[in-house]
Amino acid sequence: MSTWLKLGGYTARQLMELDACTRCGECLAWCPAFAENGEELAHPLGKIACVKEWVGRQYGLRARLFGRRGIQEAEVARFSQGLYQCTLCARCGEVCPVHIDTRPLWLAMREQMVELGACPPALAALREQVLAHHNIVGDDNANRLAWAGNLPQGAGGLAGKRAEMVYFVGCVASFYPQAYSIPQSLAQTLQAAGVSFATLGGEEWCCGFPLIVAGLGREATELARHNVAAVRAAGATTLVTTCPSCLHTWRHDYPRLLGEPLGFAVRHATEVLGDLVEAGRLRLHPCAVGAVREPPLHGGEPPLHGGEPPLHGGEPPLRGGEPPLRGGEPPLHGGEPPLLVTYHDPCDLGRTCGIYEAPRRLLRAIPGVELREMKDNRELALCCGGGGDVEMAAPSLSAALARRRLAQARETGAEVIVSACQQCKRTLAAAARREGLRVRVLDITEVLWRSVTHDG
Amino acid sequence: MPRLAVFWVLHAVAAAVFVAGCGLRVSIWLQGSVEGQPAPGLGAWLRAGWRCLRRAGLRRTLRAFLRDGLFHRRLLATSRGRWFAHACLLGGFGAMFALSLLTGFCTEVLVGLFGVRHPLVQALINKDTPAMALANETLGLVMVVGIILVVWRRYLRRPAELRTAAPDTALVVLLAITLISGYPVEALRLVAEGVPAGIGWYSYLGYALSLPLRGLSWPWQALHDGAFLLHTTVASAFFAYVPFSKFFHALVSPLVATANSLRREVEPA
Repeated sequence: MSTWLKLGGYTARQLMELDACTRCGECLAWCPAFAENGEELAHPLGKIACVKEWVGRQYGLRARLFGRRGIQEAEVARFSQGLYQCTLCARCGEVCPVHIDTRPLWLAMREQMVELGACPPALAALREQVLAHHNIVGDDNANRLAWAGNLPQGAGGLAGKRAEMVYFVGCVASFYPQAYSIPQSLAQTLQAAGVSFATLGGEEWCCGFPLIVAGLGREATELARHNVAAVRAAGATTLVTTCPSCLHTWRHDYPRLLGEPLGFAVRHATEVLGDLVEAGRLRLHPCAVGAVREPPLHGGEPPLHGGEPPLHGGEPPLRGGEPPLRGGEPPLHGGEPPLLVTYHDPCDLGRTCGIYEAPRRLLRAIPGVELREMKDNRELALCCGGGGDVEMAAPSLSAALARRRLAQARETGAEVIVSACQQCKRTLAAAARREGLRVRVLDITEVLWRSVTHDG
Repeated sequence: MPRLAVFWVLHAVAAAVFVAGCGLRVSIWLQGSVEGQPAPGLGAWLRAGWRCLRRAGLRRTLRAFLRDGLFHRRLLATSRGRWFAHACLLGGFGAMFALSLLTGFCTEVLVGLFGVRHPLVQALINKDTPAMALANETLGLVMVVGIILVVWRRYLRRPAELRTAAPDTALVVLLAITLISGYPVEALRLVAEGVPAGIGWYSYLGYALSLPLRGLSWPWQALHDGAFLLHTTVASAFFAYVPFSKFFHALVSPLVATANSLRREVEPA
C-alpha cells in the first residue's frame, strides 16, 4: 500500500535545503549515529536523499509528465527506523559546507513520520504518558519535589510562592534519583547566594521537549500554555533550568508554539551561577577534591536506591538520590594535586542554545580544578547518546554512543566528567557503570556546590 | 542555418527548459510554510525574504553571501583539497559564464544592434585577442583541473563518507564532456581559420592540439562546424539539465548558506 507525502510540514527554506545538499558527505564523517550503526538512513545525507527522492516522485518533472507515484509503507517504515536513530545532536549542521540547518529539518521529517503513522511505538507510549501524567515517567506529578525531601529545610517553601526567579527542575531531575543531587545542589547554591526562588512543584508539567523531538510537537502546546501561565502566576522575571533541553524548549519552542514572547528571561543555571560568582555572591573554596575524587566501587555513579528506571514507565523511587551536600567541605590542602576534570558540552546547551563558555568559566573559577578539553569539544562536541529520544527508540545505540564519548573523556586523563545536563549525566554515568570505569560523572551544579563556602 | 543561429536556437530552447525547471523547483518550495503560514505563495515568500534582508542589513548580507555563499569558508576549514577542487569548478564556471555573457552581449547587442565599433568591444568579440584567448583557455583549464580532482576523489580515492549515485555520475560526465569538447572545437577553428602561431598560441591547449593537424588537408571548416554543433548541443543540454540535476545546488546553496549564516548572526541560538 502506498502513501502520499505532504510538504506543508516543512518550511519553504527546508525544501530549499533539500535542493542545496551537495551530497559532499561531510556530515557522514561527523555523524555519531552512523559511525556506530552504519545505517544509511540514519545519516544526514541518506535522510535528505530519501525525502528528496520522495518529493521528486510526487512533485518532480517525472511526476508531472507521467503521474505521481506514492511511497510504499515498507519504505516509510525503513526510513522511520533510521530517522529515529538520530540523536538530533546537530553536529552535521555545524560542519555542513552549505549551512543546512539540520536539526529543524530532522524534526520536520519526524513530524511527517507521525503524520504517516510511522512513529516508533515507544514514543507513541511516551505521548500518552506525558499527556496523562504531565511527566515522562508516568508517576504522580505531585511527587515532583521528591528530590527536596532531604534538603535541610525539606521541600517546604520551595513551591507555591511568588518569587523573582522560578527554577524549572525538569522531569529527569524530578523523578530519577540518580539526578536528584542536581536540583539539590542548585537549590542550596541559590540559597547560599541569597537568591529568592521558587519551584512550580506539582504545577510543573513536562516542558514537552520529548514530544517535540519525537515529532509530536503539536501536543506540546498545551504543556507550554500551562507552564507559562504557572510561571507568570508566580510573578517571576527569570526562569532558570538545569536541563538544557528544557532551556531550549522554553527559550525557542514556547514563543513559537504560543505565538507570543514569554515576558520573562529564560536562563540556564550555568549563566545564573556565573553571574553570582562574578558578583561575589558565592564564595568558592578549593573543590572538595576528596569527596569528588573518590570513585564509586564499580565505576560510574550508582543510583542509591535501586536500579535505573527506564526513561518512561516503571516506578521510580520517590526518595533517595544523593544526600544533600551540607556542611563545610574540607578545603584543598597544600600539595594536593588539582582535580582534573573534563567538560562535556550537552548538545542542547551548546549547539542549539549557543552556551559554551559559561560552564567553562564557572569551572575555571573553582580553585583546585583543572579543566582539560576533550578532542571534540564546543561546536563539534560528540553527543553522549542521550538525545533525540534515541534511548527509547534504540537503547543499544544510545549506550554505544555514550561509550564513544567516555573514551574521549578518558583520553584527557580527567578524574571527573562534568556536564551541565541531567540526561548527559545519566547516560554517561550509566555507560561508565556498565564499562566498570573508575571515573565520576557529575553535573556542574554538583561540582560548584561542593566548592561553595557555606554555613552548616 | 548559420552556425551562430544554431547556437542561439539551442541556447534559447535550453534557457526555456532551464526557466521551466527552476519554476518547477520553486513551485515545490512554495508548498512549504513561510513564517508559519502554510503555502502562502510567491509574493509572501519574497516579502519574507525582503524582511530578512532588511533586518540583517545589506552590508551584513553581502558579507555572508561572499563568505559563506561563495567562498565556502566552512569547506576551507574542513578540507583545503576539496575547497580547491570546488573553487576551481565554481570559480571557473562563474567567470567563464560571465565572460560568455559579456561576449554575447557585445556581439549581439552592441555590435549586432547598435553597430558599436569601439576597440574594446572589438577586442571582446574577437576570440583571438590575446587576453580573451588566454582567459577562455585558462578558465576552461581551471575547470578541467576541478573536474579531474572531483573524479579522483569520487571514483579513485573513494573516501568512506562519499556516496556516489546516478545523479552524481550524470553530472560529472556531462560537465566533463562539455568542458573537454571545447578544446577540439578551438583546435579545429585555429586550423580552419589559419590562425598564425604568433596569435594562436594564446589558446595554448587548443593550439597544441591543432599542431598535428596543420599539415593535413581535411575539410576543416566542415569539421569545425560539426564539432561546434556537438559542443553547443552538449553545453545546451547541460544548461537545460541544471534544474533537474544535482548541479542545481550551485544556484540554491549560496542562498541557503547566506540565509542560514545570517540567521545565526541575527538570531543567535
